[in-house]
Amino acid sequence: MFSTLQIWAFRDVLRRPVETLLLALAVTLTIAILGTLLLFPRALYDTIERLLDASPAIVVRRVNATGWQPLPVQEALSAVRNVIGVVSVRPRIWGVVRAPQGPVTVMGLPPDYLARGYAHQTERLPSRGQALVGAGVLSGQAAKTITLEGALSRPFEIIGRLPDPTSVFTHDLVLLNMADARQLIGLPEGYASDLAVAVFHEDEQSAILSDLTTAFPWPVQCLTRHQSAGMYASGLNRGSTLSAITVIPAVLAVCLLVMVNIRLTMGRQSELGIMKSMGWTTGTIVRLQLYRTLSVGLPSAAVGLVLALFMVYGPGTTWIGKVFLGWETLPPKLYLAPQGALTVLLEVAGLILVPVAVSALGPAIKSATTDAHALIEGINTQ
Amino acid sequence: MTAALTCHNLTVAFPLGNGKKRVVLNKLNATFPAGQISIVSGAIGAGKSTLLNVLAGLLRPTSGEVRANDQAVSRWMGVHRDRWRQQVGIIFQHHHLLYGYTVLENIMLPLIPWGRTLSACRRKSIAVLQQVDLLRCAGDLVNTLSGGEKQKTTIARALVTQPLFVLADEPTAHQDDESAALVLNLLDQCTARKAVVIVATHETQAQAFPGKPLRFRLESGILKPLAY
Amino acid sequence: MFWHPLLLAIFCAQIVALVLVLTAGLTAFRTALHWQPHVPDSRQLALEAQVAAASIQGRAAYGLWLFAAFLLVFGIANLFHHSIPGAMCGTGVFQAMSGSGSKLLLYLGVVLLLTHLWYALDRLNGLQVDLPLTARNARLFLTLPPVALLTLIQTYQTFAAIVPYQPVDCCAVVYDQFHDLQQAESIIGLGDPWWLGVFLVLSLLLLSLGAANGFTTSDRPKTRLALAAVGTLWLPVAALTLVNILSAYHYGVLQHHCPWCLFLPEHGLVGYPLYGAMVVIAMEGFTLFFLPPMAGKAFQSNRQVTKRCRQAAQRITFAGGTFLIITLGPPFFWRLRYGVWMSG
Repeated sequence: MFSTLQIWAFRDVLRRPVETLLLALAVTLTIAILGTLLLFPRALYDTIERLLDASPAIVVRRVNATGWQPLPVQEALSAVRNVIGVVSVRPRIWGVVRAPQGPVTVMGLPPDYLARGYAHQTERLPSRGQALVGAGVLSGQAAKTITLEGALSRPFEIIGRLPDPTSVFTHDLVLLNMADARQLIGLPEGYASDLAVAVFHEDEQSAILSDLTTAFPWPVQCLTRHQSAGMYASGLNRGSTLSAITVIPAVLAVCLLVMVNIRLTMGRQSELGIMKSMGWTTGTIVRLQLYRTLSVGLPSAAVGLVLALFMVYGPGTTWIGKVFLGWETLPPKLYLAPQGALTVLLEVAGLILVPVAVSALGPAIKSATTDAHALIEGINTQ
Repeated sequence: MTAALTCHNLTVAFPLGNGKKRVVLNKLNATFPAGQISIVSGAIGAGKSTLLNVLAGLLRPTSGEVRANDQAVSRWMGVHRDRWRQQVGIIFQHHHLLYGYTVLENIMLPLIPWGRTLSACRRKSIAVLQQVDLLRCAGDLVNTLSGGEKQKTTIARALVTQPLFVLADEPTAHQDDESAALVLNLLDQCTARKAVVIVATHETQAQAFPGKPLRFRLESGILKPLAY
Repeated sequence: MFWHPLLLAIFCAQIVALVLVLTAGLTAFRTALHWQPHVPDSRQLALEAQVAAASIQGRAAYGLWLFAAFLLVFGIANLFHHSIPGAMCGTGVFQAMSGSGSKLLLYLGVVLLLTHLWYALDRLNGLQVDLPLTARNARLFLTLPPVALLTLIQTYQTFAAIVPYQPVDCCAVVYDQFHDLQQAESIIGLGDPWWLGVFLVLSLLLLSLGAANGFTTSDRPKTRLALAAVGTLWLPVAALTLVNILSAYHYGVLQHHCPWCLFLPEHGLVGYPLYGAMVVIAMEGFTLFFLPPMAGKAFQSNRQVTKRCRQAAQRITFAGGTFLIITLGPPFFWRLRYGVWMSG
């Protein structure tokens, strides 16, 4: 199964257990930390993208010089339905009000509407005077009522909590009956906060924007799902840029560690010289160094990657939001989507393992062009 | 390749660091035939070890060539040079063993690049250890051996691949009479299979070699043949 | 300037490659001037040692450029568009690059072609103890440093030109290429069926000549040249046919002439084997054309040169076959499933 050279390399590694262990620990920790730094923004973006898939393709808001305006529903519906490419339109009632712990987002659910992803997780929708709350709304307290202050102040009976895996979007959300939400936000009858528009094809979001904008008799602002995703991506890119800068010193440190380790313990030039004098080819020496390094590096990388995966994708983690996004007060529990993990893991492995392998090859490659006698005697005859 | 090893205008000069060079071998010309021991003697610092290093492909000459079977082996580069070294068994004056390894592992070292299985390498190495009467030390770390035992390990390592070119630098230096006779016998056996055997040694020790070895004296960087 | 962690790896690889090439270039320069293999004097022997080191440096640079090129394509195709508003694939990234992207890929292509040829020649050179091709190889190597430097500069300029938050519309780029259906179904005035026919004929020729050269022990200079020539013709035809006609069966949509969407996971990442096959054919075809005349009569027997050319022909055949299977497989499955071609 293993060649003689591979067995020889592995036995070499076991000859110096303390140094090997230290090197393995260094590689493991570096990969774990870097993996976490690079994986988190990607995971967050993938999760947001996945959750955004359930959001409307286009959201239309009425605006004027002062900003947002309530949107007359009937007039808006009749305007939108003539736009080619629009499949369905849904008026939405939502706004921001004050709760005991701070501002929350309230959303009104029509009695015949079950949001995707909630249907199988909530037992019932709120009736008048009732509310479904997100995890961050109550600061972890087990309260039975919550008083919300908007256009008026009213207590609501809490009938349930929104599922933890949706925390990224529902952390500060309160779902109310449509009529309660309208009253609390101060929206008159026949008006909505905005319109949620569904289109026939995903790629038509941008294509119908101009037609949609001109269909309304008043100024509107349209936001597509792609634009929302782009905004999140840009924001996360800033964070990931800073994280990425930490890669540079970390990689250099690991390379230095490997080179020093290799030089001091595993690849003394005199030993390479003796091997060359015994007929070892440069290729054989390079392969030996590679096997030595990979027999330590690969398992360490695997452990480090698993650690990184656990730290980022461990269900319901809150520490990572505190550390990376500054979410000090009641950070939401994160249930991140693992789709993009493989790409990032390959990036991390490449960023660390390739320099480590190259560093290990350095002494061996030098021996390729130096006389064996010079290597043995430790002199430079070049 | 079983023919002689020849040197053509071989020059080796080491830089002294002040722009000057110390010429150790100076346009040396010599032929070392197969099937016969060639003894190179000379004073300390005459350049005997340097000559052997150049012949073994461990050191590149400053100018000139070493030829084996009419091929300029000293000018071979890369993998060809490595393959030339695989044909040479060299017994170092200062042992140059790997001190973190056992005796057996040191002897196995030349066999690893040949691609044989680990067990085949072990068997061959044990056979050679028996020949040099060092089997009892097979599992010992090299740094626990005496000088003579280290020398025997070096000899065994040089002979384990049954090379066609054997270069020995003071092979009997740390040996008692019995062990020295064993070493000389082993070198004689190499000549029996038509290997080129070159031994660098002092004048006094040259007398002990069996048969009629060719004798050379290295002086002022030039190799002069001596009458037997 | 646009920034992504992958760019760090790309720049590092290119910078290290450039340093290696510059260092080895000095040796190549000295070799080109002073190489005298029949004179075993001190200068020649020292040069021989330097040539050995330069060979290793050159090979390391080649490996690094391949690595950098792969990362660049991967980044453009699969990563960078997430950070550019409106970009959905590499086309959007290219749009954000304001035209520099094509130039960058061209420079990288030239570097890889030259280094690949040098590497083949270097390996051939190392097979004989007297290194008969050293001087010739050194002269070829001297073409690398300027191209390497230009490539690095272009890489920087390309990504510096990207304005991070400026949105692009890659669909507009794709669909604005033609004004009507007739234009969409033709390339430089010639209809799609014509191009498809030419593609099929050239592919058959490529495979036949590749098999004829790749699975024979004798040297066939004329068919070898023919293979290199057919490969050169095949490349642009295959690229145009793939993007304008056959990609429809991967996208499930007609007239989506986007070369980069093929790299996306939703289309099975087929862009990698497809364009990878084309890169292999380009590099091996280039080597096949230039290697024999460069090796000349330096080798005592032509066996080693013939063997390398045979290898090149085998790789071209394999790459061409892979390309054909991936491009023609989906249309045939579509036809079997629906009973019609997509175009009707």
